[in-house]
Amino acid sequence: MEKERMPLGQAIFDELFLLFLLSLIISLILYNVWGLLDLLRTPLLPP
Amino acid sequence: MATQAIPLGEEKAIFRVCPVTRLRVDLAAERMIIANATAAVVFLLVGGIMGLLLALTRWEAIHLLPATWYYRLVTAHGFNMLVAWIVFFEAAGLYFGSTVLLNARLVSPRAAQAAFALMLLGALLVNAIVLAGHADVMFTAYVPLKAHPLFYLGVILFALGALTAVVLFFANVFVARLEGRYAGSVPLVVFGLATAAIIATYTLLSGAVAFIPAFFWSLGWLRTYDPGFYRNLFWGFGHPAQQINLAAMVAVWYALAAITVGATPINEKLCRLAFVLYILFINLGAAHHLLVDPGLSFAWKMFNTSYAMYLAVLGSLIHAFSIPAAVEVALRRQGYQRGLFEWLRRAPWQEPGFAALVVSMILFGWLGGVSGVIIGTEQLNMQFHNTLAVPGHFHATVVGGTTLAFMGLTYYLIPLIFRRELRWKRLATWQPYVFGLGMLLLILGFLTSGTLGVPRRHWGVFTTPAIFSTLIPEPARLTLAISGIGGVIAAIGGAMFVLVVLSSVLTGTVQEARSLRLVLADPADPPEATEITHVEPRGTFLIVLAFLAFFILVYFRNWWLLGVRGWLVH
Repeated sequence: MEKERMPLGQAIFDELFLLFLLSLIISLILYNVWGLLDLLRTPLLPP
Repeated sequence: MATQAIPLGEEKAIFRVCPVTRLRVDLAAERMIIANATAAVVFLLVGGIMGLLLALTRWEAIHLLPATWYYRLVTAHGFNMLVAWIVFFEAAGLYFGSTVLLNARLVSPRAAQAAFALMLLGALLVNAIVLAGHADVMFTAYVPLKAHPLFYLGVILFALGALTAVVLFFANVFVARLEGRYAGSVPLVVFGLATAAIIATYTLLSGAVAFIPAFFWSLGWLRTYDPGFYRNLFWGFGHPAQQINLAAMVAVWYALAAITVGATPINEKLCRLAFVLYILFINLGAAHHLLVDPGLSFAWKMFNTSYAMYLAVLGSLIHAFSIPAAVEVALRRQGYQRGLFEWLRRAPWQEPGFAALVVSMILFGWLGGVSGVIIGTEQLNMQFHNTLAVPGHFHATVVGGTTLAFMGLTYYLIPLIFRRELRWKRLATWQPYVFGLGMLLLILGFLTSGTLGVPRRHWGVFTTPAIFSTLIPEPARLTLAISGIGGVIAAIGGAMFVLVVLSSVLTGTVQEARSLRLVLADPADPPEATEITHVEPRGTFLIVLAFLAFFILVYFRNWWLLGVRGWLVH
């Protein structure tokens, strides 16, 4: 029987774990890490 | 593609077959859906009563509550509505999607019970500690505002329970695939719920990272907690929490369109792409809460809100076309083909699920979506930041959009899952319209008050004890009155919903569902039965063009307002 091939796009969209990882990485880097680095670079008020 | 079925202890599950949908329902999953949906409605009732009291306080002519109780109830209302009602309902939705819609079983009923117990305990703890007056910190609980440690513990317990429910969703889907319950892609509604679950994982982890140090800080174990750090971490939880709602709501829209008119998407690939855009980019929109925060760079603010977030907005625009188009095509296939809008005139407007779908889409898209893009634009945000326009935006999205969509779906869960006859059907028909009208007035009142400079969360802008002028123009009395009237009408609509649901669940006749629709037993007879192979959604195309014109007009009007406004900068 000829094996039915799934289109690449559909295969990617079906990989929920891959989508989850991408979501986590994008959010962590662009929102959290970048934002917290900005805050760390802010000079403190001298006492 | 053939899938190898690997039974993993399925013999332990007990199923029934729904006579309408022919889907297998795991009775353990059914019990957890009922438990979570019931808890959701109870918290909606509690939060709704609080909302009515708040609306009657911000309506300056009535000004019901004293200041202390106003701030206390703002805190409890925010938690009960934005977290408890919504997340309990979403947990019910996740169990429904990962078991019933996949013909599969609940992998671990014990874990589901533990998740429910943790969420309930957390929600009760937060309510008790807030109402006892030990946590008047509002929903955001911004550091250095300090609440009682049990407040933070309650939020953490609730988040742990919700995270367990999310993990169970993925486990159910995974095991369903292993056991050969489905092959290939999951159904679109389940994909939408998976999107919600993916966003929920990041959200709940962010919540834990924000609240666990706050808990330690409130106990005195941590000397300081940087407010800037807290705000970044909190909004990694606070805003994506509403994006879980968005993804779940869109999944519910597709479900309601399928239930009420038999609609199927005209291009499912595009719908899935729209969900993937949410998964990848929507969490970044949280940055718009921090657009006036010092310390964060312009590049961070601009990239996250004005570039990345628009990709998620594109996803919403795709759904905004796809769902009405699917409805139009389904109705045209039933024979309503004349002109551009016969399908719309002959749509099942008496069916509560259809009414909820349409009203929810209008309030969410035309008011919530447009105001969200405006508030999320760095320069325009300056006009609205911390004004009543912000609650105007999220009442359009979370209440007018999500809550109403969830209400619409609940009516169908009563016969299908609770296996009770829906009572007060006429009331159910009117409920989405009454609730929608109330929310429309409340949202417009909030948005216009915010445009006039009325601050959000403020007990009384005309009754301030400050010795200086509040600079709020007199017309704000009218706009606040409009929002107050809207709040009262919405509360009546909410009471109608609770009455229908509770009376059906508690006193409705126990019986198996007989049809998908509730009011119209069968699809309305088409005027002429014809075989139609290709149908174009021309009416929807026109509606979408009108929406884009409205969007552009309001967007640029706000840029114009930004230029003509007098800024009190010294």
